[in-house]
Amino acid sequence: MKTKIIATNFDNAVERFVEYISVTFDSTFNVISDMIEGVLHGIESLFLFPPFYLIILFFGILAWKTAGKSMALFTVVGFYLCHAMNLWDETMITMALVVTSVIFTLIFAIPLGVVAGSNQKVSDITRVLMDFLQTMPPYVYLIPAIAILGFGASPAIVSTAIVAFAPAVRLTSLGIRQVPTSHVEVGKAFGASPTQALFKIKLPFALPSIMAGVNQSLMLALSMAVIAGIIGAGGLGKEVYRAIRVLEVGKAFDAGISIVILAIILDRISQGAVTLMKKGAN
Amino acid sequence: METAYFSIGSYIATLVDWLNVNYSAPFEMLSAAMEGSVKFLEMLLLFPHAFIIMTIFSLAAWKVAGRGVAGITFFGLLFCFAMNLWKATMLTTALVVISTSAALLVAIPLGIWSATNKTVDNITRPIMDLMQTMPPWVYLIPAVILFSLGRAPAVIATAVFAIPPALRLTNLGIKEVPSDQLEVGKAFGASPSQVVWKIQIPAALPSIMAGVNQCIMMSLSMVVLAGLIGAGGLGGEVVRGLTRMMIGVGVRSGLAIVILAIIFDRVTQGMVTLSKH
Repeated sequence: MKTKIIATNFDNAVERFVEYISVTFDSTFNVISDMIEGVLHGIESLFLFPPFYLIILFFGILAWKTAGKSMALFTVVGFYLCHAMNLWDETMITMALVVTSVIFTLIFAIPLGVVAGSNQKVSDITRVLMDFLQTMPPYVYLIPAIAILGFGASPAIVSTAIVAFAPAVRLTSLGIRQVPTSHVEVGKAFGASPTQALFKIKLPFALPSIMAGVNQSLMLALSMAVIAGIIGAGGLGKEVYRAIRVLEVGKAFDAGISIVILAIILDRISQGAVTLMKKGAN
Repeated sequence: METAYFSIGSYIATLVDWLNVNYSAPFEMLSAAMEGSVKFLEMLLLFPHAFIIMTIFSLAAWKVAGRGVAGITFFGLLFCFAMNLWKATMLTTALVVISTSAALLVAIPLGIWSATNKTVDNITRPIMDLMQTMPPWVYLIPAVILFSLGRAPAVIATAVFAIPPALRLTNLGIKEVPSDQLEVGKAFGASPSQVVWKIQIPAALPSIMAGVNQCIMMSLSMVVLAGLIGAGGLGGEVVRGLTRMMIGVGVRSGLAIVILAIIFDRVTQGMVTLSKH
Protein backbone atom coordinates (compact mmCIF):
# COMPACT_ATOMS: atom_id res chain seq x y z
CA MET A 1 0.00 0.00 0.00
CA LYS A 2 1.39 3.38 -1.05
CA THR A 3 0.17 5.30 1.98
CA LYS A 4 2.44 3.20 4.18
CA ILE A 5 5.47 4.53 2.29
CA ILE A 6 4.27 8.13 2.70
CA ALA A 7 3.76 7.53 6.40
CA THR A 8 7.20 6.00 6.86
CA ASN A 9 8.82 8.88 5.01
CA PHE A 10 6.91 11.32 7.19
CA ASP A 11 8.02 9.54 10.36
CA ASN A 12 11.64 9.58 9.24
CA ALA A 13 11.46 13.25 8.33
CA VAL A 14 9.96 14.13 11.73
CA GLU A 15 12.54 12.10 13.56
CA ARG A 16 15.38 13.71 11.64
CA PHE A 17 13.92 17.15 12.24
CA VAL A 18 13.52 16.54 15.98
CA GLU A 19 17.03 15.15 16.16
CA TYR A 20 18.38 18.17 14.31
CA ILE A 21 16.58 20.57 16.63
CA SER A 22 17.57 18.79 19.80
CA VAL A 23 21.21 18.48 18.71
CA THR A 24 21.52 22.08 17.49
CA PHE A 25 19.74 23.70 20.40
CA ASP A 26 20.83 21.15 22.93
CA SER A 27 22.32 23.63 25.37
CA THR A 28 19.37 26.01 25.14
CA PHE A 29 16.87 23.27 25.85
CA ASN A 30 19.00 21.95 28.66
CA VAL A 31 19.03 25.36 30.27
CA ILE A 32 15.26 25.73 29.88
CA SER A 33 14.65 22.22 31.15
CA ASP A 34 16.98 22.72 34.15
CA MET A 35 15.33 26.02 34.98
CA ILE A 36 11.84 24.53 34.89
CA GLU A 37 12.87 21.57 36.97
CA GLY A 38 14.63 23.87 39.43
CA VAL A 39 11.46 25.88 40.00
CA LEU A 40 9.46 22.67 40.29
CA HIS A 41 11.80 21.18 42.89
CA GLY A 42 11.73 24.40 44.86
CA ILE A 43 7.95 24.40 45.01
CA GLU A 44 7.83 20.65 45.60
CA SER A 45 10.06 20.88 48.66
CA LEU A 46 7.96 23.79 49.88
CA PHE A 47 5.01 21.39 50.01
CA LEU A 48 6.88 18.27 51.04
CA PHE A 49 9.37 19.56 53.59
CA PRO A 50 7.02 20.77 56.35
CA PRO A 51 5.15 18.06 58.25
CA PHE A 52 1.84 17.26 56.62
CA TYR A 53 -0.32 18.73 59.38
CA LEU A 54 1.23 22.17 58.89
CA ILE A 55 0.33 22.07 55.20
CA ILE A 56 -3.18 20.90 56.05
CA LEU A 57 -3.50 23.69 58.60
CA PHE A 58 -2.27 26.26 56.08
CA PHE A 59 -4.72 25.20 53.39
CA GLY A 60 -7.51 24.91 55.93
CA ILE A 61 -6.99 28.52 56.96
CA LEU A 62 -6.69 29.61 53.33
CA ALA A 63 -9.97 27.87 52.54
CA TRP A 64 -11.62 29.47 55.56
CA LYS A 65 -10.52 32.95 54.49
CA THR A 66 -11.61 32.53 50.87
CA ALA A 67 -14.44 30.04 50.79
CA GLY A 68 -15.94 29.82 54.26
CA LYS A 69 -16.18 27.45 57.16
CA SER A 70 -17.60 24.36 55.47
CA MET A 71 -14.96 24.47 52.74
CA ALA A 72 -12.25 24.75 55.40
CA LEU A 73 -13.63 21.60 57.01
CA PHE A 74 -13.69 19.85 53.64
CA THR A 75 -10.09 20.87 52.96
CA VAL A 76 -8.83 19.56 56.29
CA VAL A 77 -10.74 16.28 56.07
CA GLY A 78 -9.94 15.83 52.38
CA PHE A 79 -6.22 16.40 52.76
CA TYR A 80 -6.14 14.24 55.86
CA LEU A 81 -7.77 11.50 53.81
CA CYS A 82 -5.07 11.83 51.13
CA HIS A 83 -2.51 11.38 53.88
CA ALA A 84 -4.34 8.43 55.38
CA MET A 85 -4.50 6.74 52.00
CA ASN A 86 -0.71 6.90 51.86
CA LEU A 87 -0.81 9.29 48.94
CA TRP A 88 0.42 12.46 50.63
CA ASP A 89 3.66 12.75 48.67
CA GLU A 90 1.91 12.08 45.37
CA THR A 91 -0.78 14.64 46.14
CA MET A 92 1.80 17.28 46.98
CA ILE A 93 3.87 16.47 43.87
CA THR A 94 0.77 16.88 41.70
CA MET A 95 -0.04 20.13 43.45
CA ALA A 96 3.53 21.35 42.86
CA LEU A 97 3.22 20.43 39.16
CA VAL A 98 -0.03 22.37 38.90
CA VAL A 99 1.28 25.42 40.75
CA THR A 100 4.53 25.52 38.76
CA SER A 101 2.74 25.23 35.42
CA VAL A 102 0.21 27.89 36.34
CA ILE A 103 3.01 30.24 37.41
CA PHE A 104 4.72 29.81 34.03
CA THR A 105 1.39 30.25 32.25
CA LEU A 106 0.56 33.45 34.11
CA ILE A 107 4.01 34.96 33.48
CA PHE A 108 3.22 34.87 29.76
CA ALA A 109 -0.57 34.98 29.71
CA ILE A 110 -1.24 38.08 31.84
CA PRO A 111 1.01 40.46 29.88
CA LEU A 112 -0.36 39.06 26.61
CA GLY A 113 -3.90 39.46 27.91
CA VAL A 114 -3.22 43.06 28.96
CA VAL A 115 -1.86 43.89 25.49
CA ALA A 116 -4.76 42.09 23.81
CA GLY A 117 -7.17 44.00 26.03
CA SER A 118 -5.89 47.36 24.86
CA ASN A 119 -4.92 46.65 21.22
CA GLN A 120 -7.53 45.45 18.73
CA LYS A 121 -5.03 43.93 16.27
CA VAL A 122 -3.25 41.86 18.91
CA SER A 123 -6.65 40.85 20.24
CA ASP A 124 -7.75 39.54 16.82
CA ILE A 125 -4.59 37.50 16.41
CA THR A 126 -4.64 36.05 19.93
CA ARG A 127 -8.32 35.17 19.60
CA VAL A 128 -7.63 32.97 16.56
CA LEU A 129 -4.62 31.40 18.31
CA MET A 130 -6.59 30.73 21.49
CA ASP A 131 -9.47 29.19 19.50
CA PHE A 132 -6.94 26.87 17.92
CA LEU A 133 -5.33 26.03 21.28
CA GLN A 134 -8.69 25.20 22.81
CA THR A 135 -9.88 23.04 19.90
CA MET A 136 -7.03 20.58 20.28
CA PRO A 137 -7.42 17.72 22.74
CA PRO A 138 -4.96 18.43 25.60
CA TYR A 139 -3.22 15.12 25.14
CA VAL A 140 -1.73 16.28 21.83
CA TYR A 141 0.52 18.82 23.53
CA LEU A 142 2.58 16.09 25.11
CA ILE A 143 4.03 15.05 21.76
CA PRO A 144 6.04 18.13 20.76
CA ALA A 145 7.05 18.70 24.38
CA ILE A 146 8.53 15.22 24.63
CA ALA A 147 10.10 15.50 21.20
CA ILE A 148 12.02 18.57 22.29
CA LEU A 149 12.58 18.13 26.02
CA GLY A 150 12.60 14.34 26.40
CA PHE A 151 10.77 12.44 29.14
CA GLY A 152 10.31 13.69 32.69
CA ALA A 153 8.92 16.64 34.55
CA SER A 154 9.87 19.55 32.29
CA PRO A 155 7.91 18.45 29.16
CA ALA A 156 4.98 17.76 31.49
CA ILE A 157 5.15 21.30 32.85
CA VAL A 158 5.56 22.88 29.41
CA SER A 159 2.56 21.04 27.95
CA THR A 160 0.49 21.70 31.07
CA ALA A 161 1.34 25.39 30.89
CA ILE A 162 0.25 25.48 27.22
CA VAL A 163 -3.05 23.78 28.00
CA ALA A 164 -3.74 26.24 30.80
CA PHE A 165 -2.76 29.26 28.70
CA ALA A 166 -5.94 30.12 26.80
CA PRO A 167 -8.41 30.91 29.61
CA ALA A 168 -5.88 33.11 31.43
CA VAL A 169 -5.28 35.22 28.31
CA ARG A 170 -8.97 35.43 27.43
CA LEU A 171 -10.16 36.47 30.87
CA THR A 172 -7.34 38.96 31.43
CA SER A 173 -8.13 40.66 28.15
CA LEU A 174 -11.84 40.61 28.98
CA GLY A 175 -11.15 42.18 32.37
CA ILE A 176 -9.02 44.95 30.88
CA ARG A 177 -11.69 45.68 28.28
CA GLN A 178 -14.37 45.98 30.92
CA VAL A 179 -12.64 48.76 32.84
CA PRO A 180 -15.02 51.74 32.45
CA THR A 181 -13.39 54.40 30.27
CA SER A 182 -14.52 57.07 32.71
CA HIS A 183 -12.13 55.64 35.33
CA VAL A 184 -9.20 55.74 32.93
CA GLU A 185 -10.17 59.27 31.85
CA VAL A 186 -10.22 60.47 35.45
CA GLY A 187 -6.78 58.97 35.95
CA LYS A 188 -5.44 60.71 32.87
CA ALA A 189 -7.05 63.99 33.88
CA PHE A 190 -5.16 63.81 37.18
CA GLY A 191 -1.95 63.26 35.26
CA ALA A 192 -1.44 59.50 35.60
CA SER A 193 1.24 58.12 33.27
CA PRO A 194 0.26 55.12 31.07
CA THR A 195 2.05 52.73 33.46
CA GLN A 196 0.29 54.27 36.43
CA ALA A 197 -3.04 53.97 34.60
CA LEU A 198 -2.28 50.30 33.96
CA PHE A 199 -1.08 49.31 37.42
CA LYS A 200 -3.24 51.53 39.58
CA ILE A 201 -6.50 51.64 37.62
CA LYS A 202 -6.85 48.95 34.99
CA LEU A 203 -5.25 45.95 36.71
CA PRO A 204 -6.98 46.41 40.08
CA PHE A 205 -10.28 46.78 38.28
CA ALA A 206 -9.67 43.72 36.11
CA LEU A 207 -8.53 41.60 39.06
CA PRO A 208 -11.75 39.59 39.57
CA SER A 209 -11.78 38.63 35.91
CA ILE A 210 -8.07 37.76 35.98
CA MET A 211 -8.65 35.59 39.03
CA ALA A 212 -11.50 33.82 37.22
CA GLY A 213 -8.92 33.09 34.51
CA VAL A 214 -6.53 31.75 37.14
CA ASN A 215 -9.29 29.47 38.42
CA GLN A 216 -9.90 28.05 34.94
CA SER A 217 -6.17 27.67 34.35
CA LEU A 218 -5.76 25.80 37.62
CA MET A 219 -8.48 23.33 36.70
CA LEU A 220 -7.11 22.71 33.21
CA ALA A 221 -3.60 22.40 34.61
CA LEU A 222 -4.75 19.80 37.12
CA SER A 223 -6.37 17.65 34.47
CA MET A 224 -3.27 17.89 32.32
CA ALA A 225 -0.83 17.31 35.19
CA VAL A 226 -2.65 14.06 35.87
CA ILE A 227 -2.45 12.99 32.23
CA ALA A 228 1.23 13.89 32.18
CA GLY A 229 1.77 11.03 34.63
CA ILE A 230 2.24 8.75 31.62
CA ILE A 231 5.34 10.61 30.50
CA GLY A 232 6.97 10.32 33.87
CA ALA A 233 5.79 13.50 35.56
CA GLY A 234 5.12 11.62 38.79
CA GLY A 235 2.44 12.36 41.32
CA LEU A 236 -1.13 11.09 41.36
CA GLY A 237 -1.31 10.66 37.59
CA LYS A 238 1.58 8.23 37.62
CA GLU A 239 -0.02 6.34 40.49
CA VAL A 240 -3.33 5.99 38.60
CA TYR A 241 -1.53 4.85 35.47
CA ARG A 242 0.50 2.30 37.41
CA ALA A 243 -2.44 0.99 39.43
CA ILE A 244 -4.65 0.58 36.36
CA ARG A 245 -1.98 -1.33 34.49
CA VAL A 246 -1.39 -3.81 37.29
CA LEU A 247 -5.12 -3.84 38.14
CA GLU A 248 -4.77 -2.72 41.75
CA VAL A 249 -8.39 -1.64 41.90
CA GLY A 250 -8.29 -0.22 45.41
CA LYS A 251 -5.16 1.83 44.82
CA ALA A 252 -6.50 3.21 41.54
CA PHE A 253 -9.65 4.37 43.30
CA ASP A 254 -7.61 5.88 46.14
CA ALA A 255 -5.55 7.90 43.68
CA GLY A 256 -8.69 8.89 41.77
CA ILE A 257 -10.36 10.06 44.98
CA SER A 258 -7.28 12.09 45.87
CA ILE A 259 -7.38 13.77 42.46
CA VAL A 260 -11.03 14.68 42.94
CA ILE A 261 -10.34 16.03 46.43
CA LEU A 262 -7.46 18.13 45.11
CA ALA A 263 -9.62 19.38 42.23
CA ILE A 264 -12.44 20.42 44.54
CA ILE A 265 -10.08 22.19 46.97
CA LEU A 266 -8.22 24.10 44.23
CA ASP A 267 -11.49 25.02 42.51
CA ARG A 268 -13.35 26.25 45.57
CA ILE A 269 -10.42 28.19 47.03
CA SER A 270 -9.72 30.02 43.76
CA GLN A 271 -13.43 30.63 43.18
CA GLY A 272 -13.66 31.97 46.71
CA ALA A 273 -10.82 34.35 45.86
CA VAL A 274 -12.78 35.58 42.82
CA THR A 275 -15.83 36.30 44.96
CA LEU A 276 -13.72 38.07 47.58
CA MET A 277 -12.17 40.28 44.91
CA LYS A 278 -15.55 41.13 43.43
CA LYS A 279 -16.69 42.26 46.85
CA GLY A 280 -13.49 44.25 47.23
CA ALA A 281 -13.99 45.90 43.85
CA ASN A 282 -17.45 47.19 44.70
CA MET B 1 4.70 9.99 62.71
CA GLU B 2 2.73 7.50 60.69
CA THR B 3 -1.03 7.40 60.59
CA ALA B 4 -2.86 4.13 60.24
CA TYR B 5 -3.29 3.21 56.60
CA PHE B 6 -6.84 3.72 55.52
CA SER B 7 -8.06 3.07 52.03
CA ILE B 8 -11.48 4.08 50.72
CA GLY B 9 -10.53 2.47 47.46
CA SER B 10 -10.35 -1.01 48.99
CA TYR B 11 -13.99 -0.72 50.10
CA ILE B 12 -14.97 0.40 46.64
CA ALA B 13 -12.94 -2.46 45.21
CA THR B 14 -14.93 -4.89 47.36
CA LEU B 15 -18.16 -3.31 46.20
CA VAL B 16 -17.04 -3.55 42.58
CA ASP B 17 -16.08 -7.19 43.03
CA TRP B 18 -19.49 -7.85 44.50
CA LEU B 19 -21.16 -6.04 41.59
CA ASN B 20 -19.06 -7.99 39.13
CA VAL B 21 -19.95 -11.30 40.71
CA ASN B 22 -23.65 -10.75 41.31
CA TYR B 23 -24.68 -8.38 38.55
CA SER B 24 -22.34 -9.29 35.75
CA ALA B 25 -25.22 -9.79 33.29
CA PRO B 26 -26.38 -6.16 32.96
CA PHE B 27 -22.80 -4.90 32.72
CA GLU B 28 -21.98 -7.46 30.08
CA MET B 29 -25.11 -6.52 28.17
CA LEU B 30 -24.29 -2.83 28.24
CA SER B 31 -20.72 -3.61 27.31
CA ALA B 32 -21.82 -5.82 24.41
CA ALA B 33 -24.30 -3.20 23.19
CA MET B 34 -21.62 -0.51 23.13
CA GLU B 35 -19.04 -2.78 21.57
CA GLY B 36 -21.54 -3.95 18.96
CA SER B 37 -22.66 -0.48 17.94
CA VAL B 38 -19.08 0.78 17.65
CA LYS B 39 -18.15 -2.25 15.58
CA PHE B 40 -21.17 -1.79 13.31
CA LEU B 41 -20.45 1.89 12.70
CA GLU B 42 -16.78 1.17 12.17
CA MET B 43 -17.67 -1.43 9.53
CA LEU B 44 -20.04 1.00 7.88
CA LEU B 45 -17.27 3.61 7.68
CA LEU B 46 -14.57 1.22 6.51
CA PHE B 47 -16.57 -0.83 4.02
CA PRO B 48 -16.72 1.70 1.14
CA HIS B 49 -13.53 3.01 -0.37
CA ALA B 50 -11.96 5.85 1.61
CA PHE B 51 -12.60 8.36 -1.18
CA ILE B 52 -16.33 7.66 -1.12
CA ILE B 53 -16.46 8.39 2.61
CA MET B 54 -14.38 11.54 2.13
CA THR B 55 -16.79 12.77 -0.55
CA ILE B 56 -19.87 12.02 1.54
CA PHE B 57 -18.42 13.82 4.58
CA SER B 58 -17.33 16.84 2.53
CA LEU B 59 -20.75 17.15 0.90
CA ALA B 60 -22.40 16.97 4.32
CA ALA B 61 -19.99 19.64 5.59
CA TRP B 62 -20.85 21.81 2.56
CA LYS B 63 -24.55 21.51 3.36
CA VAL B 64 -24.28 22.54 6.98
CA ALA B 65 -21.21 24.76 7.16
CA GLY B 66 -20.34 26.10 3.72
CA ARG B 67 -17.62 25.67 1.15
CA GLY B 68 -14.62 26.51 3.34
CA VAL B 69 -15.43 23.83 5.89
CA ALA B 70 -16.09 21.34 3.07
CA GLY B 71 -12.57 22.04 1.80
CA ILE B 72 -11.07 21.60 5.28
CA THR B 73 -12.98 18.33 5.65
CA PHE B 74 -11.87 16.90 2.32
CA PHE B 75 -8.20 17.80 2.58
CA GLY B 76 -8.07 16.96 6.28
CA LEU B 77 -9.44 13.48 5.67
CA LEU B 78 -7.15 13.11 2.67
CA PHE B 79 -4.23 13.87 4.99
CA CYS B 80 -5.39 11.20 7.44
CA PHE B 81 -5.66 8.75 4.55
CA ALA B 82 -2.26 9.61 3.13
CA MET B 83 -0.67 9.26 6.54
CA ASN B 84 -1.81 5.65 6.70
CA LEU B 85 -4.19 6.46 9.55
CA TRP B 86 -7.52 5.92 7.79
CA LYS B 87 -8.60 2.95 9.91
CA ALA B 88 -7.61 4.66 13.15
CA THR B 89 -9.38 7.87 12.12
CA MET B 90 -12.60 6.03 11.28
CA LEU B 91 -12.49 4.07 14.53
CA THR B 92 -12.05 7.29 16.50
CA THR B 93 -14.95 8.84 14.57
CA ALA B 94 -17.12 5.82 15.36
CA LEU B 95 -16.19 6.00 19.06
CA VAL B 96 -17.01 9.73 19.19
CA VAL B 97 -20.33 9.29 17.40
CA ILE B 98 -21.49 6.41 19.59
CA SER B 99 -20.45 7.99 22.88
CA THR B 100 -21.87 11.40 21.95
CA SER B 101 -25.18 9.75 21.02
CA ALA B 102 -25.25 7.89 24.32
CA ALA B 103 -24.45 11.11 26.21
CA LEU B 104 -27.15 13.09 24.39
CA LEU B 105 -29.69 10.35 24.98
CA VAL B 106 -29.29 11.03 28.71
CA ALA B 107 -28.42 14.73 28.66
CA ILE B 108 -31.18 16.24 26.52
CA PRO B 109 -34.19 14.63 28.29
CA LEU B 110 -32.60 15.36 31.68
CA GLY B 111 -31.86 18.93 30.58
CA ILE B 112 -35.47 19.47 29.57
CA TRP B 113 -36.76 17.87 32.74
CA SER B 114 -34.46 19.91 34.98
CA ALA B 115 -35.48 23.11 33.20
CA THR B 116 -39.13 22.51 33.95
CA ASN B 117 -38.82 20.97 37.41
CA LYS B 118 -37.15 22.82 40.27
CA THR B 119 -36.41 19.72 42.37
CA VAL B 120 -34.66 17.93 39.52
CA ASP B 121 -32.71 21.10 38.81
CA ASN B 122 -31.55 21.31 42.42
CA ILE B 123 -30.38 17.71 42.31
CA THR B 124 -28.62 17.79 38.92
CA ARG B 125 -26.85 21.12 39.36
CA PRO B 126 -24.42 20.11 42.15
CA ILE B 127 -23.80 16.78 40.42
CA MET B 128 -22.89 18.58 37.19
CA ASP B 129 -20.64 20.94 39.18
CA LEU B 130 -18.80 18.00 40.68
CA MET B 131 -18.57 16.19 37.34
CA GLN B 132 -17.04 19.21 35.66
CA THR B 133 -14.50 19.62 38.46
CA MET B 134 -13.17 16.10 38.02
CA PRO B 135 -10.25 15.63 35.63
CA PRO B 136 -11.15 13.37 32.68
CA TRP B 137 -8.77 10.64 33.69
CA VAL B 138 -10.75 9.87 36.81
CA TYR B 139 -13.68 8.64 34.72
CA LEU B 140 -11.57 5.88 33.24
CA ILE B 141 -10.90 4.14 36.55
CA PRO B 142 -14.40 2.87 37.41
CA ALA B 143 -15.08 2.20 33.71
CA VAL B 144 -12.04 -0.04 33.39
CA ILE B 145 -12.85 -1.86 36.57
CA LEU B 146 -16.48 -2.52 35.69
CA PHE B 147 -16.03 -3.16 31.97
CA SER B 148 -12.37 -4.22 31.75
CA LEU B 149 -10.13 -2.93 28.97
CA GLY B 150 -11.12 -2.11 25.41
CA ARG B 151 -13.74 -0.10 23.58
CA ALA B 152 -16.75 -0.57 25.87
CA PRO B 153 -15.25 1.17 28.94
CA ALA B 154 -13.91 3.90 26.65
CA VAL B 155 -17.36 4.61 25.21
CA ILE B 156 -19.07 4.50 28.60
CA ALA B 157 -16.51 6.72 30.36
CA THR B 158 -16.62 9.16 27.44
CA ALA B 159 -20.40 9.28 27.42
CA VAL B 160 -20.55 10.02 31.16
CA PHE B 161 -17.80 12.63 30.84
CA ALA B 162 -19.58 14.42 27.98
CA ILE B 163 -22.99 14.71 29.66
CA PRO B 164 -22.58 17.98 31.69
CA PRO B 165 -22.19 20.59 28.90
CA ALA B 166 -25.06 19.14 26.87
CA LEU B 167 -27.30 18.98 29.92
CA ARG B 168 -26.45 22.50 31.04
CA LEU B 169 -26.98 24.08 27.64
CA THR B 170 -30.25 22.24 27.06
CA ASN B 171 -31.44 23.40 30.47
CA LEU B 172 -30.37 26.97 29.70
CA GLY B 173 -32.01 26.94 26.28
CA ILE B 174 -35.33 25.70 27.60
CA LYS B 175 -35.29 28.21 30.46
CA GLU B 176 -34.65 31.07 28.07
CA VAL B 177 -37.73 30.38 25.94
CA PRO B 178 -39.79 33.58 26.31
CA SER B 179 -42.77 32.93 28.54
CA ASP B 180 -45.15 34.81 26.22
CA GLN B 181 -44.57 32.12 23.59
CA LEU B 182 -45.55 29.47 26.11
CA GLU B 183 -48.61 31.49 27.09
CA VAL B 184 -49.68 31.83 23.46
CA GLY B 185 -49.26 28.07 23.00
CA LYS B 186 -51.36 27.34 26.09
CA ALA B 187 -53.96 29.89 25.09
CA PHE B 188 -54.41 28.09 21.79
CA GLY B 189 -54.91 24.85 23.69
CA ALA B 190 -51.56 23.12 23.27
CA SER B 191 -51.12 20.05 25.48
CA PRO B 192 -48.01 19.95 27.72
CA SER B 193 -46.23 17.56 25.33
CA GLN B 194 -47.11 19.81 22.39
CA VAL B 195 -45.66 22.77 24.30
CA VAL B 196 -42.41 20.84 24.79
CA TRP B 197 -42.10 19.49 21.25
CA LYS B 198 -43.49 22.37 19.19
CA ILE B 199 -42.50 25.45 21.21
CA GLN B 200 -39.77 24.82 23.76
CA ILE B 201 -37.46 22.50 21.82
CA PRO B 202 -37.55 24.48 18.54
CA ALA B 203 -36.89 27.72 20.41
CA ALA B 204 -34.09 26.14 22.45
CA LEU B 205 -32.49 24.44 19.43
CA PRO B 206 -29.51 26.81 18.99
CA SER B 207 -28.57 26.39 22.64
CA ILE B 208 -29.06 22.61 22.45
CA MET B 209 -26.88 22.47 19.35
CA ALA B 210 -24.18 24.47 21.14
CA GLY B 211 -24.37 21.78 23.82
CA VAL B 212 -23.99 19.09 21.15
CA ASN B 213 -20.89 20.87 19.85
CA GLN B 214 -19.31 20.97 23.33
CA CYS B 215 -20.33 17.39 23.92
CA ILE B 216 -18.60 16.23 20.73
CA MET B 217 -15.40 18.15 21.50
CA MET B 218 -15.24 16.68 25.01
CA SER B 219 -15.95 13.22 23.62
CA LEU B 220 -13.09 13.54 21.19
CA SER B 221 -10.61 14.57 23.85
CA MET B 222 -11.75 11.70 26.07
CA VAL B 223 -11.76 9.10 23.30
CA VAL B 224 -8.19 10.05 22.55
CA LEU B 225 -7.28 9.70 26.20
CA ALA B 226 -9.00 6.32 26.21
CA GLY B 227 -6.22 5.08 23.97
CA LEU B 228 -4.54 4.44 27.32
CA ILE B 229 -7.06 1.74 28.19
CA GLY B 230 -6.86 0.02 24.84
CA ALA B 231 -9.69 1.69 22.94
CA GLY B 232 -7.49 1.87 19.84
CA GLY B 233 -7.94 4.46 17.12
CA LEU B 234 -5.88 7.62 16.98
CA GLY B 235 -5.52 7.71 20.76
CA GLY B 236 -4.00 4.25 20.66
CA GLU B 237 -1.52 5.45 18.03
CA VAL B 238 -0.53 8.42 20.21
CA VAL B 239 0.02 6.15 23.19
CA ARG B 240 2.12 3.86 21.00
CA GLY B 241 4.15 6.84 19.86
CA LEU B 242 4.58 8.22 23.38
CA THR B 243 5.46 5.00 25.15
CA ARG B 244 7.80 3.58 22.53
CA MET B 245 9.55 6.86 21.79
CA MET B 246 8.37 6.82 18.17
CA ILE B 247 8.04 10.56 17.81
CA GLY B 248 7.05 10.29 14.14
CA VAL B 249 4.03 8.12 14.90
CA GLY B 250 3.06 10.42 17.76
CA VAL B 251 3.26 13.57 15.64
CA ARG B 252 1.43 11.97 12.73
CA SER B 253 -1.48 10.77 14.81
CA GLY B 254 -1.45 13.98 16.87
CA LEU B 255 -1.92 15.97 13.65
CA ALA B 256 -4.73 13.65 12.59
CA ILE B 257 -6.46 14.27 15.94
CA VAL B 258 -6.13 18.03 15.54
CA ILE B 259 -7.60 17.80 12.03
CA LEU B 260 -10.46 15.64 13.23
CA ALA B 261 -11.11 18.08 16.08
CA ILE B 262 -11.22 21.04 13.69
CA ILE B 263 -13.59 19.21 11.33
CA PHE B 264 -15.96 18.19 14.13
CA ASP B 265 -15.88 21.67 15.64
CA ARG B 266 -16.50 23.61 12.43
CA VAL B 267 -19.23 21.27 11.18
CA THR B 268 -21.17 21.32 14.44
CA GLN B 269 -20.71 25.08 14.75
CA GLY B 270 -22.19 25.33 11.28
CA MET B 271 -25.15 23.35 12.61
CA VAL B 272 -25.53 25.82 15.48
CA THR B 273 -25.67 28.72 13.02
CA LEU B 274 -28.12 26.84 10.78
CA SER B 275 -30.44 26.13 13.70
CA LYS B 276 -30.60 29.84 14.52
CA HIS B 277 -32.39 30.59 11.24
